[in-house]
Amino acid sequence: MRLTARAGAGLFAAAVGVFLYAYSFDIRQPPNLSALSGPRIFPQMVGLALATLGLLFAASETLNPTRIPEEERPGPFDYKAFGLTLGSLALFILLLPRAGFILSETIMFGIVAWAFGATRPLRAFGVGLIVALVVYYVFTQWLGLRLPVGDVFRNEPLRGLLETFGWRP
Amino acid sequence: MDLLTNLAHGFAVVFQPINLMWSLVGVTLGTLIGVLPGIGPALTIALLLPVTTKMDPAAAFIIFGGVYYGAMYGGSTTAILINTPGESGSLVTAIDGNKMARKGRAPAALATAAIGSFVAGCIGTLLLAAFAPTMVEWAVKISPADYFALAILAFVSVACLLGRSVLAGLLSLLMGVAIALVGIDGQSGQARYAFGEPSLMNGIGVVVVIVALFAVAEALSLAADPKARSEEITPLKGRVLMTREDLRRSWKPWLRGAAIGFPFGALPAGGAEIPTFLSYSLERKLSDHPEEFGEGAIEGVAGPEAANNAAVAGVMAPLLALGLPTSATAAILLAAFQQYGLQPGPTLFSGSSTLVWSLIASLLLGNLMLLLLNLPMAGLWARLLYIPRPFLYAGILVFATLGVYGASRSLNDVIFMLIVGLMGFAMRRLDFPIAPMVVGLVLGPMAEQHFRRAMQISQDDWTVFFTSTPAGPLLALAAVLAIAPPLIRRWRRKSAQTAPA
Repeated sequence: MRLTARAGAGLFAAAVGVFLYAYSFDIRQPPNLSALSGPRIFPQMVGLALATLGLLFAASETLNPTRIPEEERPGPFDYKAFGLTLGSLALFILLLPRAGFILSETIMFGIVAWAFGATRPLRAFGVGLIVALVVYYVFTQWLGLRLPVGDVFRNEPLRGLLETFGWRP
Repeated sequence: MDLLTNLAHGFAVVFQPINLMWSLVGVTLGTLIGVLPGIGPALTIALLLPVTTKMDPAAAFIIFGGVYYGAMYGGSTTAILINTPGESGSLVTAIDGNKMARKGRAPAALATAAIGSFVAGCIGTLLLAAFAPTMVEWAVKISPADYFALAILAFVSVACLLGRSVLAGLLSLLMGVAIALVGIDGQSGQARYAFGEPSLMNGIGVVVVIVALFAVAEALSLAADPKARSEEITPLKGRVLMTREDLRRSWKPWLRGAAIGFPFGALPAGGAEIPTFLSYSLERKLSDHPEEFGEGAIEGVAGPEAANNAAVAGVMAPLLALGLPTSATAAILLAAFQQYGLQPGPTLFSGSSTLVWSLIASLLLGNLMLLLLNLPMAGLWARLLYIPRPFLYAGILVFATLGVYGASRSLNDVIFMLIVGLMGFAMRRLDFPIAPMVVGLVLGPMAEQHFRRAMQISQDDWTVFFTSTPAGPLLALAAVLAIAPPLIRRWRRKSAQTAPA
């Protein structure tokens, strides 16, 4: 008998339940609403349910772990690809306000493609740049979304070049 | 006669040239994302939401309906030509469909899937048109207490039917409900679990969570698991046609699949997976050559493909008539209605009947377009399967970040997306079902609202849930659904142990 990852997930859910219940008392109860129709009751119900079912699940997984059939079990954990994909998203969050949409997406695209086994990294970043440019153009010029352009594209000569093609970033 | 007048009104809207174009856009996009592994209709509709905010609601729903139906057609192509299915509704199709493809019978498999989807999609949509108004008549009479009971029943059945264990499904669902608690409570105006953080006051958006679960978690799981990334594409040769013999063996499974699919989709236990399994085992039982099943029996493709399309039509019935989503895609459609200030349910049929009927009419028309798109152009769609996977997944993440950031222009949302995505990754890795979480996220706040209204009406008498009908029986049914399957399993195990070897 040992704590499996699934049992751990059950404990996590139970912890979330306890948290929801404990902090439900921070919600202000307006005087015109009764306890059963106020803003606290439902979070408390959800918290209690999560805590009970989470513990129940953890117990049942510990006593009688679910056996996942061999062919459905995941293969060995690919830390490199996973880390690169996760890192590329974190990098995107850091870059977006500074480098703008086009560059951030290009870099993320390139890293993810590399993680998923793209053989020629330079080509991956190239494809990423094309995708980012097309997406940026379509979504800002046709569909009216506003996306940060980034300092690189505010550079005057480049801006002049883009504007000759009728594109106002 | 009412039905025909209503449908005629709907078609009048759909046949406007601009709406015909939107329908074509929807079904094409749907087929595209259905074919591409890793993207499904729920994610696509979530990503389309920010773009469609300024559109006429009817046009937006014509697109969304097309995407939902189209994804079912496209999903079968992937299931047949690759050993991994594109959509969960095509899991069963992959068994015999892929075997047929390996024996060089891919064209027949694709044809029976497409025509079966068409037949079942039309039957399902007509049943939707016929039954939804009856459901509405029933729905106007139910009280908040009944509605709360109905939501609980939907919770339990979604948790039971998706995934390996009821408890895991319920935990997934409750986590979705918990995420939806964050932010200002609409009924009292009080902040909940925001801890003074302005970005949490508005809550965590449905789009953010769906994109996190279906794009970020999907990409992370595939990155972590090289085994899941290996796939084998069977090339498609020749025109997609079926012989007289294929047709003789297919038409009954189509009709039976439609008959199984619609009611299962329409029950508050929806989704397209269960009816496909049922249809498959039924066809095997009824077949003259059951030995072919698992080795490439055409009935094993025809039945389940019909069932999943009819189920999608069925899912629309409780969504439109009761405002009750029973699948992840239905949940995001509900969120889309709310974005336009519309609340699915009886009031939708009375207040926006043109919208409802043009959506239903567009589904019928979309079916026809999909048949035309998928039969002669199957080879073109099959080519999409050859998009290099590194570019495909990188592209999915570009659209994910674009959709989440573009909807709110808030970097916090992108951070939430990453956090929820990591949670979804852990859930996938540990074999927790994802769809109940999405249903909980959307249905949770509605369940709360009805619970509290019921309490106000009954002046805090909580026994109202057990004493009034249909609330009481519905809750009893939910309890049976939650408790029965594990007990039956235990009883079976016991009797298997005591039985003489």
